[in-house]
Parts: sequence; structure tokens; C-alpha cells
Amino acid sequence: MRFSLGLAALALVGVLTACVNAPVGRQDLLDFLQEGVTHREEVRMRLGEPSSQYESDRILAFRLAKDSGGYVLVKPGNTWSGVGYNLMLAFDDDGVLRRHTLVEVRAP
Amino acid sequence: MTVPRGGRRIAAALAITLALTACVPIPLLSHTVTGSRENLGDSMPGAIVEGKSTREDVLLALGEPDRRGIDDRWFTYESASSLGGVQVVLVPPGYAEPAALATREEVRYRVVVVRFDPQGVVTAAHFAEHVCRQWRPGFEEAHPCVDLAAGVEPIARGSSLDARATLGSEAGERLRDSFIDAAYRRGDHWIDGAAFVTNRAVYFLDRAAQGEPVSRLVFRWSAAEIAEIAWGDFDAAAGAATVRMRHADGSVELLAFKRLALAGSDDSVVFDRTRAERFMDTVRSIENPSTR
Repeated sequence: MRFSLGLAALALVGVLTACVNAPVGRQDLLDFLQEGVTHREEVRMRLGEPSSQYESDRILAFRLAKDSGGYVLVKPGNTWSGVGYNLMLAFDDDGVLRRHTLVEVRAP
Repeated sequence: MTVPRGGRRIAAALAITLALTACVPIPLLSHTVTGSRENLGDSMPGAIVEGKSTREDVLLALGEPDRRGIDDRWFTYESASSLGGVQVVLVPPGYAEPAALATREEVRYRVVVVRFDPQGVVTAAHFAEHVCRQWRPGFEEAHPCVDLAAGVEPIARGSSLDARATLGSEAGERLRDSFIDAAYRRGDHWIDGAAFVTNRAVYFLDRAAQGEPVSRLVFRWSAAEIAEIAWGDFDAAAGAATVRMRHADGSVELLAFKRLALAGSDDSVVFDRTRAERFMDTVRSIENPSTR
């Protein structure tokens, strides 16, 4: 009985630990981006509001972090705490993705 | 001398407390300052080429800037890294919380300032690095000991000054750096204004007392006219940070550079040797220095 209780407690701790550390990132978060194909509206639909915009929305920036599961979007803030990457997207006059980079702003 | 029994106890307790309370120096390892970006190297990023790179090139290479000007005419990228140091911590007896008495740390600050023309092409770029070695109380966060982004100020504080200097008079002339709150010696007086260095010449514009226009061109020295730039004589009014510029015709002018007071602070404006050095370096780098 005593042994069973100990085992149950251990299992519970294991489950709770797994919950705390469960990765929330997605490896395929950025897979839809294709230069010459992806439209700005699709980017906004999938990633939401950008962290910042330049040249009348021609260039958009998103902030990302990465965990064992993949990339996670990070809310914009005044510092780079919690941010690992800047996704930078440049569109043409028709709103089609022309160039993009994933800039490592802070080491993971 | 007789010490009361109670007094002895107190003295003993005090001695034990002092023995157990310790000032412990804790070494601080090098690390990036919290919240700082880490993607600035030890020189100007290769993606930034004056007259060639665009705002898009800069953004896609470095990411979002830390500061941006009105109409995105300028960006700054800034980083801060601790090079290590020591923190003196007071460890009280028992389970009381340790308290930091003071921190001695070396922090390296880097800044890249990039300016763009109305078409979004880089007109000037500036890289600066400075290591601040400071004692600071307790757990207080590190603060820069110099204003590395001082070159941004002319655009933020007096865009008309910057615009007039940017025009230049030679084809292909581009602003390389600008120094607001400079001072120019005329006779026995110092005139407040701003100095601008393009890739071809040096300008000094004085500042009207009030209203627009805010500036008036005092001189424009082309690269060929600048025979020598060096530290000037000590001037009581300007301190030691006096720069001497000698023309090819032998005439000499004196300039001084003030440290910019922080916005909203009551700090007095003092003359600044660091800005003067930067001015001299910028002038030395301008093109066609045919008389040197």
C-alpha cells in the first residue's frame, strides 16, 4: 500500500513536471512562407499583428522564441528579453513576399 | 574597569554577530545585459554600406532597430554586455537575506547609428563602442557612462540643421556625422551651433537665439582646405576638449564639443572630450585630404 502511494506520488510529480516543461513551439510555424508566393494577408492571418512595420507596411517584423517544439511568437516589448529571433519580411508592391530573413537577435 | 554582566553578554553577542556577518566578494562572469540584443559585432555590420544599402537591407540583416527616428530617417542598434566584475555582498547571520553593498563591473556598450535619405538609402553610418568601468550601489542596474548615440541627436532635436547640412554643395556629398551643441571660437567668444562632417567637407552652423530658421552657415571647409586637425590649446571656457583646425592658408579655427544633457534632466552641459575625439576621427576620414 505504502509502495503504491509512493509510486502514485512520483507519477503525479512526473505529470506535473511534464506540464510545466511542455514545449509550446511549432517546428512548422514558418513553413508557409514562400518568396514570390505568400501574400501579406496570409502572413497576418497566420502570425497576427507584427511587432513593427516599416515603409507603409512593406516590411513587417515579428518576434520569436524557440523551444524544443519549435518557434513561438513573442509579444512586442521594449526590450529583447525572451526573444531569440526577428522574422523580417519584405513584400513587393502587390503585397507578395519578396525577401525574408530570420535574424538571431539573442542566442537561444 | 568593571563591565556589568549584561554588558558582557551584549558585547559577546555583538562579537559573534560581527564574526558571522561577512562581506563576501562574488565574482561576476561575463554575460549579456538583460534585455539587450546580442547581434552586434565589434565593427560596422557588413550589410551597411553608405550610398548602397537600403533600409530593407539593414532591417533584414539586423532585425528591428532599438530606436527609430521620425519617418524612419535613422535607426539605432544598441547592445550591452558585461565583461565581468565583482559584487560585494553582505551576508548577515542566520537566514536573513544577503544584501549587495556595491557592484564593480565592466560593461561594454555598442551602438550602430544608420541614417537614410528619403529614398531609403543609407547616407551615413556610425559604429561606436565604449567600456564603462563603474562602482554602483547594491543591485542597481548598469547604465552607460557615455552617450554613444549622441550623433542621433541632431536629427531628433533639430532636423532643419541636419537637413541643411545634408544638402551639401557637391554632387554625391553625404552626411557622415553631425555634432549638435558644438561651439566655434570667434574672437574671444564661443558661438553655439552644430558641426557637420560630410564625405567632402566640414560645416559649422550657428544657432539663432530663437525661432526659425534655427541655423546659419558659418563656414564650409572642403577637404582640400583642411591642412591639420589636432588638439587645441587649453581654453578656460571650453576646458581641454578644444579642437584646432588649421586651413591650408595657415589660418586657425577652434572648435569645442559639449556633452549633451539628458532630456528632462537638470544635468549641466559640459564640454566633452569623447565627442571632440570622434569629430577629429570623422574629419580625418573624409575623402580627398589632399593637403595631408
